[in-house]
Amino acid sequence: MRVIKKNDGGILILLVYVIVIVLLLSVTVMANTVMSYKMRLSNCTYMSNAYMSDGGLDEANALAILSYEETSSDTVDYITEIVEGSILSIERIKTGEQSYILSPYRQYIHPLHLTLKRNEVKNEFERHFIQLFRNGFTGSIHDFESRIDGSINVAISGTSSASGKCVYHIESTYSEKGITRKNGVNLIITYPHVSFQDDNNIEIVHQDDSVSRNNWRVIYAQ
Amino acid sequence: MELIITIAILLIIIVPALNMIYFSATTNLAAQAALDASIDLQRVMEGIKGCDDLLGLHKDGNERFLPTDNSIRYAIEPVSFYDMDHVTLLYQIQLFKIMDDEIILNMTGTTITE
Repeated sequence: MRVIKKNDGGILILLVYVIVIVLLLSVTVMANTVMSYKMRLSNCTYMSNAYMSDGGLDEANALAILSYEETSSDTVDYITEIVEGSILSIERIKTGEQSYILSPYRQYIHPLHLTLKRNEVKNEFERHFIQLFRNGFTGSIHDFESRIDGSINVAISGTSSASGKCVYHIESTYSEKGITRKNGVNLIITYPHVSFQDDNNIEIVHQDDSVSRNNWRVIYAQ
Repeated sequence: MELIITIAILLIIIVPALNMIYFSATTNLAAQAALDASIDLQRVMEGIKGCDDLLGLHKDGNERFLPTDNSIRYAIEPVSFYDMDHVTLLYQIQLFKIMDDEIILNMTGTTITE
């Protein structure tokens, strides 16, 4: 028995058209949906990764503040020792107990007036601070291990110096779900300096923003 | 007989097509919700990051609902390594967007106090 008789089947041809149209529509809608879904999820990951990357810069900033404090403390101890040693040496030279030439602090003592060379002390303070800070900070960035997420990588991409300050360009990268975000910041370190009340009393003067960053990012604004 | 075949074929094709459209609609809604959540969380994150006193929020790592938005939960935890003379420099911020008792998105960030 034949299911479809001769000259029948017109409705089936129409049906085939309907099926093709419905299939095409479905495939198009699905393709759009999948694409849109991926884009929106990527956007979320993109933003999320940006904050993680920015976290690396905050960690570097915190390390810079810590390095500054430690360096400052060490430098004050170092310079206090120099000043006290120089003062003691001056007294000994004046009483004839020690010769100027043999004094280990002679570079800080004026040979004629037997007074403290304040500029030498100031220069020594700055030189020592810069060297100690550079070693401490670059070392801590070199050995950087994020406390927030092990995938955060931080590196110093450049440095520049100006009078009384130094700029470290820091880059932080974070990668997750195939999306990598990289953020950068300039950390500006303004060095402290020594101020003399008199030869026996020194004061360390810190700037208001001893460690500051150049950018204040606005990722989202309404 | 032709009518039966027609109806059968229509069912076979139309039902999956309708399913696809339904799936597409729900997936789009979920993706849109995640995107909206991302924007909400960014707004809160920026507010916390840009504020020195962390908006008076708790800093003990316990999760709480944001006072101004019951759909966002937050936790602020000191990053202990960066303690300096008992003054915390760095805080980790975790934000969660809740919808129907389910976390649809979470975001982690940091803020530094100077």
